[in-house]
Amino acid sequence: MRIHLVTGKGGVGKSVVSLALALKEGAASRTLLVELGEESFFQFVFDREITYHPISLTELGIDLARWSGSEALKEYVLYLIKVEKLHQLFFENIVSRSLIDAAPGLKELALLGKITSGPPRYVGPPLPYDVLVVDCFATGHFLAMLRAPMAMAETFRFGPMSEQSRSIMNVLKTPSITQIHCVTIPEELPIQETIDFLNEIKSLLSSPIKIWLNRWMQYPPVDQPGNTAEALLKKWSLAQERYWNILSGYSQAVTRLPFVFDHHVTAVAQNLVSEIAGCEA
Amino acid sequence: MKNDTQVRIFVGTGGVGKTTLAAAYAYFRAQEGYKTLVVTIDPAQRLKTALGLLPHGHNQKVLPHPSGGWGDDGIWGEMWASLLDSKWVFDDFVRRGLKDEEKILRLFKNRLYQQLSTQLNGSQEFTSLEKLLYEYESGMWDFIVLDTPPAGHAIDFLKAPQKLNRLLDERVARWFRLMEDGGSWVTNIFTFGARRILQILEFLTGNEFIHELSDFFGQLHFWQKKLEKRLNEVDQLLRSSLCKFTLVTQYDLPKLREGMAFLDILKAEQMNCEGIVINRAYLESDFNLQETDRSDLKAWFDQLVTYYDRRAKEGRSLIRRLNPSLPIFEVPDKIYTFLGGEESVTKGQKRSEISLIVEIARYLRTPAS
Repeated sequence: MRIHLVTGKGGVGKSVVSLALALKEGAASRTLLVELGEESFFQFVFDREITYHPISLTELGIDLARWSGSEALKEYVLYLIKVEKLHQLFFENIVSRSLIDAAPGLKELALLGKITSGPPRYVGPPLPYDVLVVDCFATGHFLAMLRAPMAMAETFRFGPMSEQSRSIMNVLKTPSITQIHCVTIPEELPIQETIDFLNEIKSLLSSPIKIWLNRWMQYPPVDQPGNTAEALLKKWSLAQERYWNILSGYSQAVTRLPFVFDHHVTAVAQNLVSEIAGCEA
Repeated sequence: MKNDTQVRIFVGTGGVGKTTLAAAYAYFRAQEGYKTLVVTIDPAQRLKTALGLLPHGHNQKVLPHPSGGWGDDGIWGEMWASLLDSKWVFDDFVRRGLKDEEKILRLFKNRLYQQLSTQLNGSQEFTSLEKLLYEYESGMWDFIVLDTPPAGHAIDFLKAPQKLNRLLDERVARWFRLMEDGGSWVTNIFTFGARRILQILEFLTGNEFIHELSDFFGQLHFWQKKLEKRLNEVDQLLRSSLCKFTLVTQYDLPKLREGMAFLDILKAEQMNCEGIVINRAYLESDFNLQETDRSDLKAWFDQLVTYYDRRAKEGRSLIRRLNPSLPIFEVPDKIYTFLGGEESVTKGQKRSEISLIVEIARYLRTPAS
């Protein structure tokens, strides 16, 4: 099992890059693309309801699901207590319901539990996929999610929750299983957020993070600007270069993904597949 | 006390430019002579510098742009800005509610409280609303403009307070208080069903977690009533005619459709929407094709312009089809904002960067259609 977790600032094309990654993996392996949370982005792309149980995008050769924390928790609880009646009692109870809704960290833990439910943990119903590509939350919420099992394991030394937390962390910390991707674009806020993210995540995981510098504009080359239009172009391309340099100073693993002159999500993703594949080769 | 403070809330998917637009809106109202406050959540360094924001969350006075940033006939009301300090607002709220120093410290030490107040599940949404209410009650402002926390989806903002409210449901708190008092699971103050549920909870999470949880709820009940009252007041304000939402989105079909779905939710909740701002709607640049003979340059620019045109065309036709009967404001993509701006990467940023806000404020005056 290979797990790709994709994060990045809102609006940088996280979902598009996740889709491209999934398409690339889907060519060779059984691949599931997963959205996290209560709301779906891809429902508006594929005009289909995206549910907890995967649907097949046959034309693209991948499956797609949307996992929310409460559904993941329900599944986990059912898996553990096995008795449907008790399960119902538990989830219909006002206390358990509100806990699940708002207790800090519980949903995040359940989501990570679901993401890492395959080998080597084998906790929960089997996931018949070789590759998971998870279109995660934006960086702040993503870090909070990663901290959940850590905080639980640190705060509570004993009990099932701390055990589960430890085993989840182990999977996340194994580079041969889990790869974290951060998508960004050559603009001020996203670059700053990426740098902050890289600094923060260092204290959680030591494995290398892949950075995708998305929407990289391929300007026509201007060496010696002969007029103002060319000078302007030169200025823009230098500004963009500077962001590349800043990022490269923080990480070795930065790959540029070209700006695609198309505004349809699937078309852009399909365009990026070869770029991503080229970088992995 | 009569309070006619107008509230404007900027909502939208992450990364669409809510913060900048909220600031531009407050600026534009100041140009009309009003006294405005913008509460920002996560501004770019450039915007922070422009607004003179300091991390402690106090309100800062923003001055108009020296070269013509005043309104018509030199009108300028007052503009203030603040950066939400979520942790501080949360702790302050608890402090005001609990009053007893010992109880306050005990709650602050609770590990679940620490997590709740700092990062997860709607705490930032709650604190931004608490700040809004606080400023509203001061009666000092003509307009309070609220930026909303970064979330994947516009709807998250509306859902957050309800979630918090449910967590603090009196029945939940009572359960855990009983546990505190009774000390043990199997006391007969619980029904059979309740005992089973607690057993499941303990089985799932462990004894230690349950203990922390009951301690947390035990402390919470001291400010339960106050919080409930507060959330009700917020709810009333959000539904009142003084409060209007502005949806910020882009001509990006999935995002646009999500935004439109959000409008339906606002309507169902009986909340008002003032308009839709389409950020980066079309391209506007100083680039002049007449100045060059290079065909590759022309081809590149042509490609870029076509990209924007097609996107806008599809976006506009989607809006027309859904017919939200709201004014649409289009804000152009300046090629320098689209590039992140050369100025922003250089050191020594100046206050004059307020010019960006001045420029954007212009587009919020007249609807595109």
